[in-house]
Amino acid sequence: MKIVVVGVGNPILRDDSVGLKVAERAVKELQERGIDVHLELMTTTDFDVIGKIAGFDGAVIVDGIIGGEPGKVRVMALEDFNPSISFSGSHSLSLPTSLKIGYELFGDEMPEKLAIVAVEVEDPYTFSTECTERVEKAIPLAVKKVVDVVRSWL
Amino acid sequence: MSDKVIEIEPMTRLEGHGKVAIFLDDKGNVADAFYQIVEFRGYETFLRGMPIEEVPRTVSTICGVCRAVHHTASTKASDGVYGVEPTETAKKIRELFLCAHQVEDHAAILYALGLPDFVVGPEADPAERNIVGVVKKVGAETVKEILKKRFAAVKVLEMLGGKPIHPVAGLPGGWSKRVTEEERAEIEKLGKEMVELGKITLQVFEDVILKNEKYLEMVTADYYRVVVNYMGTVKDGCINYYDGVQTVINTKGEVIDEFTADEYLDHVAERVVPWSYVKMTYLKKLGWKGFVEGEETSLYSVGPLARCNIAPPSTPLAKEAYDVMYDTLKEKPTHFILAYHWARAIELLNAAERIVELAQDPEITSPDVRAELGEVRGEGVGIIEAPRGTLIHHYKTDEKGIVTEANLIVATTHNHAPINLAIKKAAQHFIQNGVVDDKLLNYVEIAYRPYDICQACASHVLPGRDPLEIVVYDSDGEVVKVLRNF
Repeated sequence: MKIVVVGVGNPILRDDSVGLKVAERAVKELQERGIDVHLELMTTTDFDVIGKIAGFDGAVIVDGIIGGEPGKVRVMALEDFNPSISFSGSHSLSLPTSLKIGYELFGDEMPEKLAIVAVEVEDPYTFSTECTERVEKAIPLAVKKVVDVVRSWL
Repeated sequence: MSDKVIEIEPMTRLEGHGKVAIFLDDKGNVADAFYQIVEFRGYETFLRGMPIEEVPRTVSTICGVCRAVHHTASTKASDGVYGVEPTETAKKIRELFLCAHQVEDHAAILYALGLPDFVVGPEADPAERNIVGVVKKVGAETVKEILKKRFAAVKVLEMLGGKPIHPVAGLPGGWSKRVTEEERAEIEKLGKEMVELGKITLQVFEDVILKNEKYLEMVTADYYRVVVNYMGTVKDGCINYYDGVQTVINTKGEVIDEFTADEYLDHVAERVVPWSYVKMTYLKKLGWKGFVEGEETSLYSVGPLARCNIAPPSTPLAKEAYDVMYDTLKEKPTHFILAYHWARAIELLNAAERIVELAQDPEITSPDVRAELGEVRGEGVGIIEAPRGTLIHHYKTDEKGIVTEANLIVATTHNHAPINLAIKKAAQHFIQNGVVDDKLLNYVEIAYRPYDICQACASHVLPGRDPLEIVVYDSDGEVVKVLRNF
């Protein structure tokens, strides 16, 4: 089974880097266990995300989300989001929107298995390569969630 | 004095907290309109104290979408700091990299944002007025083909950029790695796919817009016409995205100013406005003439239409398409802002053709990718043409090359004033005698979408996600109407 783990975020904007950190650590851990997974890191969630996961049998996407208790880790399916495809002047697309477009257009090439591991963030705005305390503490749990999801697919 | 305010608040992952406020007069007609960006992060401050070599790798994170353009402009500025002229091969690799970004970005903007307004219709439900609606109209197979060809540009960016997440290959004096023959052959093949993408895009544009009288009427409507000056980069008489002379034309198309990167402060002035963190630029030579359009204005636009208004594309297929556009619109320079989308499609083809040309250049695989660095000169300016317009990176350093000052002027800043004018004109047309039609939301979006606003770059902020909203207040500040597209 071909699996890709995709981390999304900005490496120098504090909690926005959490998706990248979790994805990197999870892939390292999986590879140490002899599990072959591919790592992709992205700064945007536009059409490019389709190209990154197409051709794989399974994809785990790790990203930060805003709105809940900082540090909370969620494992979500695409259906858990309400993909907004009514663009409002943005020049980028949201992750659920890009994924929805990907499945509608490239259904047979898109991963049969898909999970989104989301970490609630506190400060994705301040320049720093370190996450806030609560988000930093959540990283091991998020890594475990990614590893568990991948192992459950094997 | 205005007694009503209509606010539009867009915000997504990559945009700053922006807002459109429309002020109505006592009769309910539009008196004024302001496009505001109300958040600020300040990359310029963050860069202070950083070694200049680190800066191109850092600024590529300003915006997830615009990573390649910030990297390239910053790398050019770092050349200046070291007083070094990059090798010819390095310049060609940088141009190739930038052209791949033009293709990637123009395709995304056109298919996700620009074309849906026409393919699906300007008054269609926002739930349909997007790429999913385009799929229904144009066909899934066509859109699949379009996206696959766009991925070709992403592959070239990753191949040259040195790191998938954000580019790191640009160095003062050159590029960190040469292009191998195997990579060159792959880039040439991918470039030809991108040329096909350009041709398909112009065909879609012709089929959907040019053959539809109602849409062509909208493209040439006065309420979507903003008369300003234009600025872009010209080399050998043609548009060039990587290098050249900054050229300014007036509203009649006459060249009124030319300058090199190092001279930009003598030609472009920035004006602070109290209602936005993003400054407003104007032509220094003409002086501040106020927030007005027309022959007397000192405001200017940048981006695809501005570039086309100034000079033709250098490649044959794009030049053919360029001639068709001006023959159809019957004015040059053209001030019809919806033609920005048309110019974007022409540039997509131009950049793709240029990728093939550069990939076929024997010098592109030369190992001579970096020049010897000179002494630290202490100051450098890098100007390139980003998809949405002229991008300026300016750094000052100490004698060791540590940044002491940084100034970034992005396309959304150059276009800030024209965006305001565009919104005001559209709002004046669609709001009359106090009647605020629900369709206002769509038509105001259509007015600022051509400029492809990047608030993340303009305010250098990477914020969260919010939808688009219009709020109407009465003279007492009470909300009387709310329009949302979510």
